[in-house]
Order: sequence, then C-alpha cells, then structure tokens
Amino acid sequence: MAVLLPRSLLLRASLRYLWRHPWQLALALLGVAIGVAVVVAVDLANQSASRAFTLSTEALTGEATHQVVGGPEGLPEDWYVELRTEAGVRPSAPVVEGFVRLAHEEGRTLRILGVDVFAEAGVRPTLGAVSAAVSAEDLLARAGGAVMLAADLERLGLSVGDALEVQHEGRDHTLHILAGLEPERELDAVGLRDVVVMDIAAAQELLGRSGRLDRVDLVLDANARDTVAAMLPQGARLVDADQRAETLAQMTDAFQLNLQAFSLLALVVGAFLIYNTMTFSVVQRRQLMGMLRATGTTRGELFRTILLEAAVIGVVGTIAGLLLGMALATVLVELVTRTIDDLYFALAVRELNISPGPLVRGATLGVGMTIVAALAPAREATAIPPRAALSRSFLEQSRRRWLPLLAGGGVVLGALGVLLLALTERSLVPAFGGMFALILGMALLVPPLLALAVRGLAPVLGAVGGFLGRMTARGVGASLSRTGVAAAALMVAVSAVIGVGVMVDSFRTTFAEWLEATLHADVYVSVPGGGAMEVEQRERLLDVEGIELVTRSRFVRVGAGDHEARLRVFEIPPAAERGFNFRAGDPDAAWEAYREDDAVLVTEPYAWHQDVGVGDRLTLTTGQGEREFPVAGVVYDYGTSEGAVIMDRSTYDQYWDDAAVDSLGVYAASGVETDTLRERLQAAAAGGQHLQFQSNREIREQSLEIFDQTFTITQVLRMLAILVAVTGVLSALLALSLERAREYAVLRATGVTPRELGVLVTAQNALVGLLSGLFAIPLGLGLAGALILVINQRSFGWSMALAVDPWILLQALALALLAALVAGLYPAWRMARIPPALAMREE
Amino acid sequence: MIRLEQVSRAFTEGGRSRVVLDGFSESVTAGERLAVVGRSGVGKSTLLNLIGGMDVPDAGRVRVGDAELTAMSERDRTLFRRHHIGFIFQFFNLIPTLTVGENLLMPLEMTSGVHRAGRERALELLRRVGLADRREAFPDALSGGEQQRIAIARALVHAPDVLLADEPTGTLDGETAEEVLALLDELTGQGKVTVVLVTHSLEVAGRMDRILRLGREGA
Repeated sequence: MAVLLPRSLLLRASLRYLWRHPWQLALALLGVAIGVAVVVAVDLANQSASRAFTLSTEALTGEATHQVVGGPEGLPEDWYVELRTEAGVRPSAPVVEGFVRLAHEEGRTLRILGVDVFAEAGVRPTLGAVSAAVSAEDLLARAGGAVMLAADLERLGLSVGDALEVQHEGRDHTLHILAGLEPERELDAVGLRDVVVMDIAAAQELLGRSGRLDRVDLVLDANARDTVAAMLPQGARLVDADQRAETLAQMTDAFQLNLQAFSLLALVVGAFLIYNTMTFSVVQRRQLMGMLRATGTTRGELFRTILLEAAVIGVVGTIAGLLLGMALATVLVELVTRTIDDLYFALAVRELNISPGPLVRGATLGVGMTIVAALAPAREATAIPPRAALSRSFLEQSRRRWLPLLAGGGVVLGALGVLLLALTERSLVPAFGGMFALILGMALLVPPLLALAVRGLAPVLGAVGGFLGRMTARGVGASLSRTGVAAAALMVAVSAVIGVGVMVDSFRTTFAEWLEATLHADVYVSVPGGGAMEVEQRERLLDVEGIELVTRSRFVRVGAGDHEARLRVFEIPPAAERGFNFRAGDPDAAWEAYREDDAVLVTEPYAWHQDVGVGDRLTLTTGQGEREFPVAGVVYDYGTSEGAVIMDRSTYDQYWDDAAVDSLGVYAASGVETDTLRERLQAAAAGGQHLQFQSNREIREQSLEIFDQTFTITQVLRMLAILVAVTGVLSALLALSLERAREYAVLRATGVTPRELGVLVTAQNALVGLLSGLFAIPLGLGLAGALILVINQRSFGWSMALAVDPWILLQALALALLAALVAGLYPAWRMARIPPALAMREE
Repeated sequence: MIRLEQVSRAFTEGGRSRVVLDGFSESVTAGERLAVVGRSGVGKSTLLNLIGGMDVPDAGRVRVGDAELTAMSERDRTLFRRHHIGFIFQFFNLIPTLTVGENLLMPLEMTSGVHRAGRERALELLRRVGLADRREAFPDALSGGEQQRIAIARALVHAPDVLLADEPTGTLDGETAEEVLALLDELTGQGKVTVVLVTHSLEVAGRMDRILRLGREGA
C-alpha cells in the first residue's frame, strides 16, 4: 500500500493546493454533488414508489397464493359459501373493494376494503391488528363501522367515535370510526395507508354490490388449485397472486427507466465538470510538477497524487450529493407518485423511504465517475518533463493534434448510436445506449467544430470589433482544451432541453388533436370520481328535451389470458367513427366487423404491450366464460399507456350480464345550445345521485392540465441538467480567466479599461454559449426523434408526429447564451478588476 | 517631465505593514533615460507602477508631463497610460492570441486607430527590430530575444512620452541581452523618449543617462 500511495508531503502539497483554490474546489464539489444528487433523488423516489406499491400489495394480499377475480359483474356470494363449506377450501377470504371520495377534501380518495374478519385467519396477518383493536361483534353491529390507521385519522383530524363523510358513485355516505390501528410492522403501517377496513356486508352496502364479491383470496396447494379451477363461476378467473402484482408493477418500469436515464444525463454533464477542474488544476501546477519531477518524483507518484486528489473531491462531493439527493427526493417522490397516479394506478406514498441501494449506487457512480474523469488529467501530469515548464501553447498544440481523432471518434460513436436506435426492436436498454452514444459522439465533435467556427468567425469579429473582436474569436480557439469542454457540457444540457421540449410539445399537440377528434358529444355526464350511474338518473336524463342522441360508455377490467385488460365499451355513432384514426386495419372493414361480427378494436399501446395485431384473436373472460374476439383494427389512443380493448355495447351486452353505464355522451338537437342542454340535464338530475356535466371543451382542458402535470417531473429534471451545465461552464470560464489573468493584466497595463476588458471576457463567453446552442440544435432534434420514434414507442407504445416549433429552438439558443453569460458574469467581473501591476510580476 | 513629490507607499503582508517608499521625491527630465537599481524589495517595481498609474501612493504626488496621476480616477489613469506610456516587461507579455503584427498594431488601435501612417510606422519598427518577416507568426513561435524585440517595438509604436522597462533583459542570455539593449539604445537614445528602466545589472544601468540607487537614502 505504501508503494501505491504518494509520499505524504506530496499529498499534503496537493491537498493544500486545493484548499488554497476554494472557488475551483467548490465548483468541482458542486459538479459532483449535483450530479450525484439528481441520480440519487430519482432512484430514491422510484424506490419509494415501488416499495409503497409492494408493501401495499403484500399487506392487502397477505399470505394468499391465488385470487379468484370476478369480471365486471363480480362473484356471486353464494359461490364463496359453496367454496368454503362444500369444497372446504380454507384459508379463503372474500374481499369487496372500491374507492370513496372524501366529502370535505376535493380530490382525496380512500380505499374501502370490505372483509370477513372471521375468514381472515391465515390469509391476511395485517388485519390481525383490526381484531386486536375492535371486536368482530362491534364491527358487524354498527352500520358504516370503519377502522383506519391512527396516523390517517390524525391526518384527517378525526378521533374514534367521529363520523366520516364520504361519497361513492355520486351518493353521500357516513362512516363511523370504531378504532384507530397502530400496527407494529412497517409493512402494515404502509400497506394500510389510506385504507378503510369495514365488515364485508357494510362495504357491499356502501359500494352498491349487494350479494357480490370482487375477489376471494386463497392459500392453495396444487390439489386445492385444481379443485377451485374446476368450480369457477362464469366470468371468474383464478390468478396467481404474485403474478398479478408483478404485472401491475411492470407497468411503471418503463416510466421509471426513463427517469433514471434522465438522471444519468445530469451525471454525465457533471463528469465534464470534474474533467475540467482536474485538467485545470494540473495545468496550473505544471511548473511545480516539473520541479517535483526534477527532484525525483516519479511519473507513477504524480499520477497517483492526482487520482487521490480526484478521489478526495469525489468522496466529499458525493457525500454532499447524497445529502442533497435525499432532500431533492422528497420533492421528486411527490411528482413521481402523481405521475404514477395519473398514468397507472392509485398509490399512497407519503414519505421518502431511504434505502441503502440508491445511496450505494449514487456513491459508486459519484466517486467512480470522478476518478474516471480525472484519468486523462492525471496522465497529462505525468507527461510534464522534469524542470521544463510545459507551455500552455504547447499543451494547446498537442490538443489540436487530437482534433481529427476527436472528430473521427465523434462520427463513429454517433453512427453507433443511430445504429443501436434503428436496428434494435423492442428493448429499451439498447435504445438508451444508442441515445447516450449519440450524445457522447456529438460531445466529441464539439471541440473540432468550435475550432472551425472560430477560425471562420475571426475575420468577421475582427472587422466589427477590432483587435478585441479578433481576440474574442482567437481566445476561444486558443484555449480549446478549456472552451471545448465547457461548450460540450453546455451543448449536451441544451440539446436535452431541445430534445425533451420538442418531444413533450409533439406529444401535447398529438394528444390535443386526438382529444379534438375523439370527443364528439356536446355534454358528457358521469359520476364524480368514477363509478356507475344509477338507472333512475339515466332515465331522467334521457327524457330531457333537446337531445338528439345519447351514447353509453362502460369502463371495466376483464381477464385476457395471462393479464387483465381495460375494456372500453362504447356506442359509437357513425358520425363519430372518423374520430378514430387507424394505425393498422382498413377502417371501413374494421367498423363493419366491429358492429356486425363481435370484433374489437385495440389501442396502439395495447397492441404494442400485448403484441397483438389485426387478424389476431383476443381471448377475454366474459360472463359466459372465455370467448375469442377478432381484432379488426389498431387505433391511435393516448388515454392510457397501459392500452385498452374497445368493444361495441351490443357485443358487450351479449356476453356480459352487466347493464351498468359509467358515462353518457349527450348530443344536442339542432338549434339547442350546449349550455342550455347542460342546464336542462343538471335540472333533471337535481336531488338524485351526484353527477358531473362537462362539455367536450372542458374535458379537453382538464385532460391537457393533467398532461402538463404529468410532465412536471420531466421539466424539473431538465432544469437540473441545465443547472449542472451552468456550473460546468462557470467552472470552465473561471479557469480560463484565471489562466489568462496575466494576459489580461498586460492589456490593462497597456491601457485597456476595465470596462473594455469586461466586454472582451463577456464576448468570449457569449461566443461559447451561442456556438454551444447552435451545436445543440441538430443533436436536440436527433434526441427528439429518438425519444418520439424509439423511446416513447418502446416505453409506452405511443406513436406521435414530430412537431418542431421554431420557438423551442430559439428559446434553447437563448438559454445557452444566457447560461454562458450568467456563468461568465463572475469571471468577467473578476478579470475586469485585475490589477495591471500583475503583468510585472514573475510568472 | 516626471516628478514624484514626498511619495509614500506601504503594503500589508501577513497583517503587518511594510513601508516600501517613505517620503520619496525624484524628478526625471524630458528625454532623460534613468536607470533604477537596488536590492530586491526596495521598491523598484513599485516606482514603475506609480509612474505608470497602475498603483497610487498612500501619500505624496506623482506628475507625468502636465498630468497629475494622483488626482486622476482609475479610468483616467488607464486612458493616460494608453496614450502616453509604453511598457516593456521582463517576461515580454505579448498577447499569445494575436499575431506579431497584430500585437504591434494593438496600441495604435486603442489610441489613434490603425491608419496607413500607423501601419507604416509599425512595419518600419518591425524592420528595425529585424523581424519584418515574422509579422504573421504567433508569439509562441518566437525565441525569447525575438519576443522582447517585438515587445520593445510594441511599447514604442504609438510614440509614447515615457517608456517604462522592468528588467527587460532579466531572462535573456548575454548575447541576446546585448542585442536587445543595443536596439533599446537605438530607438530611445538622443532624447527621443523619456525612459525609466529598472534593473539589477550595473552594466545595463551604465548604458542609461543617470542611475538612481534605491534603498540608500530617502527611500
């Protein structure tokens, strides 16, 4: 070990150098810290969401190995009795489940879990706490009797004995709090969050499912499994409990992978920063290192000293990054949860779960990346000959010799990236690999491009700004080892802004067009928070004057082979058919088959995830058992990334005994205003089940609002990448200014005013920013293309048209310029105040 | 031409004040070439900084021609330097990102602008320093002696009233130093310009009209 470590005085000199250059040290630490923080925060937020999901599934599924799941009609209660008494299948526990809205808190929902406490033994240990807190008799005796976590009660401002007002399917209900649970296991504390446990009969009454069950949880061995499979009622399915949870969890995998890739981008930009800092510290000490070599320090010792220095920066920066990441994660976890809520399923994550995995990963990446980024500067240190002072121009000249190699490497990497994106089919990992190769390839191209650009611009700037103009262009070109890295870091960050900006904008445009094409009815009527409309209400509405046509919709989940599919049951009037755009299948033939031959349509994400296409047959678990439905067409749809099967109402009625309707589309008769129609509908529904009446314009606006909310996290990450880049550029420009302090002092000594010097330094910074912004445009558009045509397609199955708004490109260009100018403010200010007498001092 | 009256200047080092010049007075007449010699730390460079307006005294007055530098703002001192002072540094200090020709034109561009007459004067100076054929080269392609010859030409190209030189041969070998000094004699001799030259070498000092030994009395 003693052989590997540099001598202690050497190390002391090295660390003292860092200590005496606090700005440089702070920027390097900041670069590592922000990069690590973003990676750790995203990882922690993802983990917290996944863990909350897993714990809640585990707590609510308990020891069950299998579940018998009913279709839209549910399971008949009698069947459960038969299962338990005649077939003797135990442990088995029935469940009635649903969501209610809090009457006094807009948008907040609670999960109702209706159970039979006598049947719970051996299935759900979680609910043991319920038996401990309240006697089964009490739970049975009190109508609306409910038990919740004591922590949830406290949050809601409730105590035992209080009433809780809730709404379900537009009806008001009162629950009575019988007990507050204080489970010992964390699993239960997380799993029961936002859950109201009730007796099954009370839950059936509340949720309107008299005599029906949603599922039965079972602990089965192989024999018992066969027994249950043989006695399944029509429309029911026997599923493996783990597999069901896994399928649900897999839905969010692509989303979480996308976030992780984004966070890695911040770390890549951070690596530029570290490389820059370490190179600068080596260049600045070249004389000292030459002297050390002359006095007997070996190349190896110098190499290890620089690496050790990098390791110190890496460790300290990483520790700061971990702390910052934990703080940032508390914000991100909310955004991640909100997005999962909007896109996938309800998830109750209230606090951050700090597990060692993300911290270890973040620490390894932070320290590892710092050391890798320092390898090149460390090698450079060993190239310093004894005694000789390696001149800056020599260094720049040697760098220039690398330019063709960088250009070649950039082109090869870029081509590899395009190949990876184009030639792989379904997997996301090579697609992200291709995107990173494209980014790195372009980053390598930046120094040669910068050299070419400033060579071309020098005469122009000279003509405009005289010797200061010439110095601006030449100054950028003469310090390529510094400006090249700064420009590359800024270019990468700005290209990400363009790429994601164009992607989100294209997505939004496509989404808005889809909404416009799909929403045809004038007023949509539904139950707030979802659920079925009551028959009497529906009939009242149908009698309203001024209606030309009413269509009914039903949204259910049904078994579809190895998974559960969303089934959207529509009545589509012929005029509304044109609102569906077909990705595959002949529209005329498809509509005919849809109406006449029990065919279904599938949405694009469904076709992608389940690998089905036109002509395939889809096996759905209907009320009459498993039936096959031909797929007549694949339609574009942006309603859910999980995808859905679309079925005609007449087909649905034929196979399921379920007359329920979730939503009505009401078309106004000719000459009747939408607002008038809505008022009449509202008047007709007054006093009955609560309903909401929305015009198609309101639904469009609301949907776009949710869309924007979903992408908040993307915007936050985008800004973080910019923050890292600005820090990188600040560090590079500061390094450059400090290096050229003597040159600037000579200018001051020969009569250049501080203002003129400030203009010169600022102009150089602006040039770096502007060129970085220009280089970022082609890469940004390439990234947008990759995100839209490959990443989004593979992650979510959505295809969308690439729409490039020139405004986004202009904004990005302005952002690059602004970032460089902001980052350059301090160096410019500092250089403008440089004492001219510095020119007199020894170098 | 140059008058320093009761000039004092002290610097704080490690929390303690160190007096470099204390009530120092001196005059240099127009066209005179003064050599300043003395041990390290006696204030030779401080003197140059004060005459060049790059530093101001804690007390006393500094006049160059009709201008009282000690009464001027920092900006005015800079503009005064731009027009009236030429500098030669020990380490040449050419701007590495400008060619030899452009380095020479820089003071002209900052003062009168680059006119035909200025270009001709720059070319003439380049010829006189023997480097007319290197005007497109960048400074790092030149030897130390060549760089210092360019620095001398640059210091004189805008015809300053005063030339300040700080150890102009300090880093050069004997032969090159001799060439540079001969060039300096040729370009500044016979009262063409007032020169204040700081040196450690008595041989170099001996080539000037007068020698001022700092650190003996009054300084």
